[in-house]
Amino acid sequence: MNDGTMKINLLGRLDIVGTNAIDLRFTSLTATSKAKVIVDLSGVDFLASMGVRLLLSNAKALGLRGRKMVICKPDPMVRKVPEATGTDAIIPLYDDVDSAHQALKPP
Amino acid sequence: MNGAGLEISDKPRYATVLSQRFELSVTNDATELPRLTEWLTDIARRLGLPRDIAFRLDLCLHEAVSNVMNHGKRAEEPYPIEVHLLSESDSLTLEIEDDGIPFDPSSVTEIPPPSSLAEAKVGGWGIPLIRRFADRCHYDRRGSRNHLVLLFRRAPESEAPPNGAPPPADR
Repeated sequence: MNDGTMKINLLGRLDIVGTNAIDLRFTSLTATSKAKVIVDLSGVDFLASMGVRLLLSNAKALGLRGRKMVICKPDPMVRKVPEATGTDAIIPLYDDVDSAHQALKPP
Repeated sequence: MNGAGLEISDKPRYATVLSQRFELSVTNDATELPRLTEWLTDIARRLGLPRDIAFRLDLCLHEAVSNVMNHGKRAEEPYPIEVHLLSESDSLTLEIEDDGIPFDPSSVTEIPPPSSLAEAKVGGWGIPLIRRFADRCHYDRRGSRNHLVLLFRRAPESEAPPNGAPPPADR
């Protein structure tokens, strides 16, 4: 995106196996990002605690550099996982890319 | 009923499947997890389970078995984790058994919802997710074996989105 926002699309199951498969690539993308990050979960049909851990650790690392991460387009069941743990309060969820994008704009 | 004890009725009684039981054994190695997922996916398809309950079963089974794999090691040698799924008309019951070190998931202290990104714990969400996505959670130590039973009601009211209050864990 040309406004300093990076969108990362994830695909498949974010269980232990799936999370381990993308961990390094995802972390290197967010760690080197000078931008705010939108994580598009529309292609993710399963989210387990390992996936929550990956999202949280990268959101924290971004936060330390003054950057934000938000999630967009989670599947209805996938959405229940961050909602059930309360992590949606610190990594906000949006139903579409535009809303996520708007939320990252400076007030 | 006639004299020979033969029941005669003009109303046919069609056969009904009251319950089905499925079993799988995996070893305590993360490379077994895809086989566990395939086993459950196949059962969900055969039973025609709605996505809501299939997802909750998948999540709780994944968290419970991976927890045994990560924390239940008693030796370098591989050991089996037995999984049973009982499907009944009003519920599905998962049973996970292993002979690793005793571990009662219901004894794990609840993690409070994170108040800020800086203070949030990144890990430890597996047991809280089981508590929230299963309708009942019961642990027993039977002899040298851990025995975890997770119940999922098929009733519509149990399929409401989980809220902040986890169901009470049975001891």
